Amino acid sequence: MELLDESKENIQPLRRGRNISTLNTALQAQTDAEIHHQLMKEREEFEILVRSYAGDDPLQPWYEYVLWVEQNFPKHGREGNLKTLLENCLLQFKDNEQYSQDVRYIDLWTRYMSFADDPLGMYKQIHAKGIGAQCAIFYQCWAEEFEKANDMKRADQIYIEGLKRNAQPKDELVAAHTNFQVRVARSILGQNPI
Amino acid sequence: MATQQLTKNCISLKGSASLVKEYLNYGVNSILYQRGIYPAESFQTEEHFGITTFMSSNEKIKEFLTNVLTQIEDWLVKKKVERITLVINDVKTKETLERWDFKVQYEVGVTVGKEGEETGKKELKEIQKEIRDVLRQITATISFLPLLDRLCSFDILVQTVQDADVPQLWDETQPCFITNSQEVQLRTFSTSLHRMETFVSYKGE
Amino acid sequence: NLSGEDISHKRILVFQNKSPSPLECHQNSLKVPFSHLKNLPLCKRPSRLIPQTPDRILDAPDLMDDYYLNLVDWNSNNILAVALSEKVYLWYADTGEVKQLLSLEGNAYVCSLAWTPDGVYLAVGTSTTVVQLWDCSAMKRLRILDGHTSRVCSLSWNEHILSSGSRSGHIVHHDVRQQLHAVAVVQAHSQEVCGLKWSPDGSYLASGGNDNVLNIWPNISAQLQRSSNQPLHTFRQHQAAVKALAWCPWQQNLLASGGGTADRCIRFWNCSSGTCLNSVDTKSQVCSLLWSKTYKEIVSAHGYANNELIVWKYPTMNKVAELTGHTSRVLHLTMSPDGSTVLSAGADETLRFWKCFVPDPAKKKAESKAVPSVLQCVLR
Repeated sequence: MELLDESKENIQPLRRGRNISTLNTALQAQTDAEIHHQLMKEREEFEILVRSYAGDDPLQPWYEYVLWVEQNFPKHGREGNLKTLLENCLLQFKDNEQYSQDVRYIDLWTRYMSFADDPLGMYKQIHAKGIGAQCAIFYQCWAEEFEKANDMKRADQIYIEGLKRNAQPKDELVAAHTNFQVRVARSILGQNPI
Repeated sequence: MATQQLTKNCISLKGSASLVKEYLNYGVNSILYQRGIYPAESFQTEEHFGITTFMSSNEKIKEFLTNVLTQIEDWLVKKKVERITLVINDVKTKETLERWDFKVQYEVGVTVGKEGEETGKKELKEIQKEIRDVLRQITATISFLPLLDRLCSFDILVQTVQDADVPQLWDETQPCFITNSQEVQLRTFSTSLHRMETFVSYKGE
Repeated sequence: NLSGEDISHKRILVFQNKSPSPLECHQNSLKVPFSHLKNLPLCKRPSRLIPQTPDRILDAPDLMDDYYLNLVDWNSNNILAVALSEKVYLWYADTGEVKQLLSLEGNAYVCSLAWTPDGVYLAVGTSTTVVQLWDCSAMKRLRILDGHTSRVCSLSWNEHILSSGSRSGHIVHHDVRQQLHAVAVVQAHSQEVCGLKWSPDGSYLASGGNDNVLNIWPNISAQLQRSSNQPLHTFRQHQAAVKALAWCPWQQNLLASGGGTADRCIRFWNCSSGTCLNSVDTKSQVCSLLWSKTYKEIVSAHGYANNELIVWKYPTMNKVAELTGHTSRVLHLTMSPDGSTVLSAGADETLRFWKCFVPDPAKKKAESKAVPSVLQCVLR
């Protein structure tokens, strides 16, 4: 774990965690030209794959490519160029009915929100297009954004909208909404959190 | 006189077991804080081993840890414990999401005094520095561990040698495994009587 | 698994009384380093209007994305030094002219820059373990200062003493007027020294390391006595690397420090008494700190996970402004000599100029109009 220690401030934490052997290789690639070259070759293969894919699920190679970049460019800076990659993918499929309720596609949008200047505005726009309208995770992420902005009223409305639209899986949305309401009540009452 | 000099600044078996118990206490509390098992507001900072650590102020957690760690300390003196495991489980599904393994190895000290008490060769200051280094690494695991975005509970499992008694209030249980796990070894520290290896295992994608 | 050994025949014991469960509604506060916080309300009544967009943006291609380096410095003669990988450029703010000062050979890269207080000389720390000293009016290298065993990522001047920090954890003090320039070496940290700042009056040297430690060292004459190799104070409250260090210009002995990803706090220290006066959780990795010379305010630069600058009122630590626009971490801050403009250097390879400390309009001087495109042409 020495290399990890030395580089700890140059590793962006990920919600889904990092593969430790990939991380070690990625850190070595920053100083070892041979390993870096191997990484670039691998990246080029992904670039070719997303362009030349002829199967019936064109989103999947993009999704794998995004996950690969996240793991292999731990600084999350210019080198990985994740923002552009996400933009290219999201734009390509934004009018594709096949993917408007696809969990992978919604997941990519939520990752993109970290790069957006106005995530709340963006959630509103893509919701207006019907993207994610049936997905519980979409409403949870949107409501969470309002909660972070301390707009509890709007966060509550988002949960209600998702429930009204019968977004799935419903039990997850119900649980998230219930927990949200309890948190708000507790913060109003000023109760000891534990 | 030579015997007295030898024992100066060196650690006894009891002293070493006590140090390991402290390490486990600070380590477990740090993990609970860093991994967000309980709200951050329910922790307070304390200084130990020359490092600032987050310790739970919840009385039930403190009581639980005192009970468990006091027993572990006793087992350490008797060389009965081989591994201590902090498991973090999903409250809803009971699935184990994360494991912190503290593996114990016993090293041979020197025997001094009439009672033949075992004594270590290492100075306290050096041991404390090694413990500090491991605790700092525990904190740094934020860079690669996944967010625990569901409600989690924790428990402590102790693997003992076969002939250890099962004390009152303790049960035998099954080991907890993580399917498709990643594993990272942190630094090792040694009191020169107890050598502690620390590992974290977590669910991979 | 790594720890090997079949445990299927061992006895596993567990305490019967279970640990308490967290409240069902508990939302993991650790989400903070994984989340970007946007649209947050500022304090209700900001003391003054601060422009929310930069005055200008310059491209800085190949600016290294490395938390531990210190790659920009703006001198008292209004010249900005910027290190872009193996090269150092000088941008003359008064004229808009850009000059390349140097280019290192091989795979070497620049790790740190520091101007002398009079703005005449520039110290350049490198990955090849040496510090180069340059006369920037003559565009000539004056000296090469060795003494380190790994890259030199932090530099700070105290009159003619140049203190340098390296990845090995050492600090080497160089007297640049002496032939045998390495007048003292200190094993200051167990990991990389990423923050290094002399206090304005030279009473203290603050060093921050990747070992999460902040050390306060005595003045240079005390440090040159080799018997005294101990810091005056050692602060271990930060839970992550300490790179951001800034001495208060209006209150003696007051130091601000910032912690990395696992910490995210700005702490304030009275360095004569050795006490922590205050701590504020900024929710993001703290990469750099600067005090205003005009207002009782401090500005922080942030990375994981909010790439922004925050202006805080001191000592209340109310937010005065949040300055967004960088699309990657904001790694470095430096200030114009008139104290009005903060420059931020980001991992998005841009330099942004924020007029956040402009004095009252009545006192405002005529602005010099630089031409950004000139810098862009040269740097691109």
